[in-house]
Amino acid sequence: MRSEDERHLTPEQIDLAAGMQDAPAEVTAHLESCPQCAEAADASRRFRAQLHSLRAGKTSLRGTECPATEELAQLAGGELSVERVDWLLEHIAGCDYCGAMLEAALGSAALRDSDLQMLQQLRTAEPNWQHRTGLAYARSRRWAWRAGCTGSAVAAAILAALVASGATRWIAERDVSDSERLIAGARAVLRPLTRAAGAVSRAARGTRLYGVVRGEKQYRRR
Amino acid sequence: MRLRQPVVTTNSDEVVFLLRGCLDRGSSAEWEGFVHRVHGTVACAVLRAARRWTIPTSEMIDAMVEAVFLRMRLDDFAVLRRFRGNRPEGLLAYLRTVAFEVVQDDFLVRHVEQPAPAGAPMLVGRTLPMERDVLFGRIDTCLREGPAFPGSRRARQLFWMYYRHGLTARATAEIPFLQLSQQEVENTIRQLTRRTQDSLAGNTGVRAAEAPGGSLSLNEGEP
Repeated sequence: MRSEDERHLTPEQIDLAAGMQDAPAEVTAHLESCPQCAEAADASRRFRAQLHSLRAGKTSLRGTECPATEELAQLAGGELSVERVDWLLEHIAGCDYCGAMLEAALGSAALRDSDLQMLQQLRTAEPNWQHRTGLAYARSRRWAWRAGCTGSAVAAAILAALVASGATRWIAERDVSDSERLIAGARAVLRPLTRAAGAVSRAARGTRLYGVVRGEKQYRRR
Repeated sequence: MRLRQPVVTTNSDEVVFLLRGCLDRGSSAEWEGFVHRVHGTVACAVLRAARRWTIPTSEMIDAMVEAVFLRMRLDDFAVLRRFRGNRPEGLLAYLRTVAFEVVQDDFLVRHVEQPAPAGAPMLVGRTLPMERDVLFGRIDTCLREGPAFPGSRRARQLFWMYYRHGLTARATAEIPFLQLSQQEVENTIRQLTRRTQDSLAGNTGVRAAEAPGGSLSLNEGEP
């Protein structure tokens, strides 16, 4: 058994020969002289090619059972519970979308020198762009705060109106006598008319007063 | 108008605090500091994601970086508010995923608008084209039903991360929870590959018997 092992390549050397790593010269030399090991290396190479053909495509979409993006980021950042990590890794192992997302979260794909140069020359890398974006962000935050205040005020006003109308209805529908309800109803109908009458009378008074003042002025002029 | 100096953080830990400060009525200088701090991460993520589809130009990257910053700003910074972690690595990883989503969405829209070539179906979640699905199922069954060893479940996950998602051993070793070195990940994948090949070929000879057991054992479920 031992002598046979010495004659043939070890599984590790077969892996090397199959192309997982650079094979040393003696392994390459052995492959040329031993058809059995060459066949084993070839089979290993074919099997790996088959495995690589399972590589996920780029057009995969998020599935219904996929975890939230934040969770994948937390996995990459090391901020999850043990149980959750286990579930996530199991899911990622079989999900194209989440696998790609994890790869993105880790940011591990190597960048070339030309890429780094391009990143340095980006328009968005200039201080001017970043200043404008910072300014826009701050303004946006301020507007959002104001909008939030206005929204809250409007909501409070609507709520108050609803409460008031509810209270009025409740008062109107209380267990009161028919005569009281009739009186209350009549008052409710008359209230706007009374207000309108008051406004008309105030306006008339104002006109009269204006007329008096004007008449006095004309008298003085004369 | 006098320009205020941006708040520049040199310590990576400060980026999370800077974000919290910005979201809590931050000034333009603070926001500028945040933008300055995360721009590199976002731009790199955009470049990597775009490269999956095409050879990107600087104009394309610029436009997409702008789109990412715009996405962050929408709905009163809803995307940024969703981040609940405390570690800067977590925040940067999160921003990378946001950038990836923006780029992916953009290219998917273009992809849908173009007439699809034959053999390029749109895939949802776990699905694969049929022939690949069959092969995947066969190998996965073999991995699941093979002789169990400590950490066999974790080894299977590493195996698929490598072959299905193209995650390198180095990238996998960077997942903090796993606590594995690059070498350990490489060994695990190599040995599991050999074992699977032997199982599928019905080879139960010396190589299958030699397969993992001692060296291929991972501490599954332990941080």
